[in-house]
Amino acid sequence: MVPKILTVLFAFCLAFHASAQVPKNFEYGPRPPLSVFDPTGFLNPQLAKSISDPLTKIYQKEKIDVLVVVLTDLAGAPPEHVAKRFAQAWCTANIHAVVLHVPGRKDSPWIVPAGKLLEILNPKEVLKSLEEAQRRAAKEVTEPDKVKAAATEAADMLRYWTSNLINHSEQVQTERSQWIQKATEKARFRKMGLLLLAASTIPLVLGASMLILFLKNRGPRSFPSRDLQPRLGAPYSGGNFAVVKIGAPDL
Amino acid sequence: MKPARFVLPLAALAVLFSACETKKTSAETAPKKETAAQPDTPILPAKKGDTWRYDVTLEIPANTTGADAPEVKESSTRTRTYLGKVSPAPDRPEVDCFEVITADGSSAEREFVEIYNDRVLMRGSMTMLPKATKPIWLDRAIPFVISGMKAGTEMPELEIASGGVTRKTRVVAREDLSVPAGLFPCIRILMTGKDGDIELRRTTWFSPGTGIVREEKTRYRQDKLIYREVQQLMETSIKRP
Repeated sequence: MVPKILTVLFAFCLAFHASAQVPKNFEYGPRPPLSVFDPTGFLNPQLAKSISDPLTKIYQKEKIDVLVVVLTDLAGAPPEHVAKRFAQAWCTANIHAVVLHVPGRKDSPWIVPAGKLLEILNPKEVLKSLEEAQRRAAKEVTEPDKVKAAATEAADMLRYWTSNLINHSEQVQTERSQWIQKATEKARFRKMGLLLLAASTIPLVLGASMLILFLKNRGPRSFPSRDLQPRLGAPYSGGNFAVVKIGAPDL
Repeated sequence: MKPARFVLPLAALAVLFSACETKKTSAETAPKKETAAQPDTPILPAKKGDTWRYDVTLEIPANTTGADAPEVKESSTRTRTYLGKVSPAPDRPEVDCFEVITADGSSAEREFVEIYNDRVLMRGSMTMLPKATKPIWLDRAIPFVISGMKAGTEMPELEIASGGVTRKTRVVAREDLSVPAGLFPCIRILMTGKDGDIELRRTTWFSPGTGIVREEKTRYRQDKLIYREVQQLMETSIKRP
């Protein structure tokens, strides 16, 4: 009974969390299980699956999200705006792209990348790669083939950029480690130098103290050293037993 | 002993100070380990007579080869054989050579490469059938695949014949690929460029120790697709180390 209640509660929490992720005013609802959203069935199921399967695999392994969206029209909105709305609603990966296609539009499909990692990339390089990818995809003969080509181009692009960033980050880390190692070695040498200096200070100080004492004993207000000579009958005798008496003479 | 009264404690302090060590995390002080040296080698241990058999699908859109020319969609088999060291022409050095022949024997091409333990360099090609042509020869060998290539790596862009021929090669990913010949760990290489007015896009899945496992070649001219070929490995005589 208790496990059942817990399961129901857990499922409720998950559903609540999932629904909370989707903006409330997103008219297309939650993201579908496939990486292809084609409500009108423009792409045949086999082609949709052949596009979606590799994208799903890439997302599972590399957390790179490419979403394909096919709409009948954009209601006058710019394609990038529509694509970004889908991305905001359905994509959470650090780098993702929406491939948006409107059947019949000559400038379609559009590839719109987004995500935190994109902010680190060189915008000129991004734009150049994007233009080349869209241009190649647009050269396909049929529209479904254009969509497939655009999805492949987008995935290749994002995978390359992500790995390139990782390589760059690793290179920076390696250089930083090498710099820290050099700094540590320098610090060690400095430490050894200080230790040697400290060790040599003690005999120096002792030597200096002794020198000061020696020089001090030679100067004024210093008593000459005593010269001890043996005396007959010393210490009790003095003057060869001569006694001197001062006072009235004895009568 | 007045001076010693102050100096000795100072010296002791200096010793203590220099003996103090700020603790650093091991991640900061330890240099990053170098990546495993050459895990993909030998990159292509081909012996004379080794073969690779591919299933090939070719698509040529309608009206490409001529007005009213029909669309072409055909499948065939292609065999690549390693011939050993061959010179493409009397004035050229001997290099590693592969001969690629279609199943019906209607066309044959020779690919000239330089195979080292850790890399394969492209050198040129030559059509043998239906008619032998002059070899296309690169004075400077171009790296095709290098062992240890990481995803996100880009090769230096190549430009030949004053921009008439350009090639840009990028490593997109390292991934496992399943083809009829089996499951292979592959380096996925994307090559784009131009041959005059023809734009090309070529994705190659190269498995270190085996060779080309899958390849998708697309050619475009005047904003249209003119040719698409997909080949995947059916079987090979090469033994993976």
